[in-house]
Amino acid sequence: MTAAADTAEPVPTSDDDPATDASVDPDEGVDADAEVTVTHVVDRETNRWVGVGALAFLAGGLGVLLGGGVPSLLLAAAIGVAYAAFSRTARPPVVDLHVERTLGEATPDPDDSVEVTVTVRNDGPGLLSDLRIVDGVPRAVTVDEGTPRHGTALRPGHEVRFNYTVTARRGVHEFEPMTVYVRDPAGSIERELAIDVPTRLTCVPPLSATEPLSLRGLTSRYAGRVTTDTGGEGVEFHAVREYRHGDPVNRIDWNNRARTGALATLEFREERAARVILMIDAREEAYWAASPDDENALERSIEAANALFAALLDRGDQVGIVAISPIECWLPPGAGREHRTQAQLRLATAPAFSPQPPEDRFFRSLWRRRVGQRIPDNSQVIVLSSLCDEFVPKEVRRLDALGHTVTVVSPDVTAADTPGRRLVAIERDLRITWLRESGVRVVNWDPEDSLALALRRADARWIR
Amino acid sequence: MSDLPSFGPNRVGALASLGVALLALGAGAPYSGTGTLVGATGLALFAIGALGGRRGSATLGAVVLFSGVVIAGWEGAPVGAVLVGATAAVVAWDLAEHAIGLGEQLGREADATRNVIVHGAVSLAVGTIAISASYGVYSVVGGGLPLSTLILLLLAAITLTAALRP
Repeated sequence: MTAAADTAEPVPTSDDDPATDASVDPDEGVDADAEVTVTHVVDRETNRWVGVGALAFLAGGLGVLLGGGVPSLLLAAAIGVAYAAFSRTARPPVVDLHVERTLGEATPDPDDSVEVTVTVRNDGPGLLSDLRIVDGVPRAVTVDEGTPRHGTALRPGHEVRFNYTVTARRGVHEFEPMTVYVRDPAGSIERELAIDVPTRLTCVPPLSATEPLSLRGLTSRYAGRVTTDTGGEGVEFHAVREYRHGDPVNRIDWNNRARTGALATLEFREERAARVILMIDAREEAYWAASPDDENALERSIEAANALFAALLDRGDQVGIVAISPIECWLPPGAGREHRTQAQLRLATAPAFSPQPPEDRFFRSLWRRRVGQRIPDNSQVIVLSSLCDEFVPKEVRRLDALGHTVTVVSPDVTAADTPGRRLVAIERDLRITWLRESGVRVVNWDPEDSLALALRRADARWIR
Repeated sequence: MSDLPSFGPNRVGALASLGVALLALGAGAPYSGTGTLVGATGLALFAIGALGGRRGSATLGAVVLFSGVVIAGWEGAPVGAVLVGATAAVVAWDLAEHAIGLGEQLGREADATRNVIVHGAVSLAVGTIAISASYGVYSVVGGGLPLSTLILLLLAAITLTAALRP
């Protein structure tokens, strides 16, 4: 608000500004340049002066009725008539605006404050006595200082500038068209314009590793950190077996040899790299949140995916990403720096993980066909979903039956304030129980806890 | 998740409208007790409407306020006072309605002071012209010409207004 107040004074500008114009004229219709476009124009009558004539007649009629004694009533009627006449002079205002929107930082980090400055210049021939501007803030972004709305009057050639601050959130956010209302001086006719000023705010959160999730034995043939049940080279003791010719000398159990005289070979649990697919639920249901102020399931899933991806990659596992969404998103498992950057970009900006729910319908069979063949046979799957409907648990069971090792990380977005919401929470608990009974590991991530804590808790239970 | 404006009329506009409404009440007050009473009722209604963002209440209040001025005129308030009172009632209503409209489109917090000032200035200018014109006509005509002259003049003005429609 302070900043807006400081800069709200119109300042004259030079005419040689090469920026684009959004010109609208009643005769010319919509004339738009390359970037800035006027997407719609509506004129409407506000009918606000309708009653003033009646008021004039009230006073005038009384004046006539009472005879010549009170000319002042007739004069009061004249006032009403004057305003009625004034309202009838209204013509649709000629609007020719030059509109700009600039961001303090187009690619901020999450939770950064981004200053948005809107500049509107009157390029038309006349005074715009009543100009109201409502900027189209992206829906998933919140304004934290100032307001994206401004009302002013603009002389020709002058411009008004106001600013407000938004908090950056993960994802690609397109600004919506700016709505501008222009009224004639009497306020009888209002022209509404939607001016599209393409502006994009892209926020890519960094990948920051958390505690790694302890993975189970299904691994690839590459060396890594997941201990398997196969004996071989490694750290953790696995078994002692009879010596076979060619076993390395350092693995001979010399104690046993001293005790019994027989040669035996120590075996350790082999450590291999796992191939992990992070399967993120991004259907419309994933945009549910406990309350409008809380983060939705998708945001929290992405947060978890971010952390898990980095942790697994750091451990040497191969990690891929797939979305449960009508929009395709598939990053095959891989490793390395470039893969890491790719994943970071995907998680932040992929259309499937847009801050806005997908518009297309989700067809489960189509999705299964598309994704089913892609997931490598010996890969583990970590499913990130709120488990608020039946589809994901069933899909998890199916993947489990296909031989994948499935772990579910489920952000809890249920609330308990109404009976209906409590029912949803109970249903979700039942689904978790059902999954656990069938041998699937489920991390129930409470919104109060950090992801690291939730993972550690789950881990403790699994090891015992 | 986009922010929602806090609803309510624009503060500057609502306060300005209240000031003008007070003027409307004050103009006729010294000349008529009944008029003042009616006007005060109107002012209360008007204040509720203007500050609370209720159009109906503001409009009704302004009409009652105007009626108070008319009653004062009937009970013998001078022409100048009635003209100022009637104009102030109309301007007050205009400002209040404008502030409520601004509140609906921009929210309570948005800075629209310039918008309100310009709108108020235009409205006042129209009022001033109307007062000067009608007072001018009155002082020329009022000398001794019959009342019918004034009525006919008023009718002529109304017809002209109707013809102004684009």
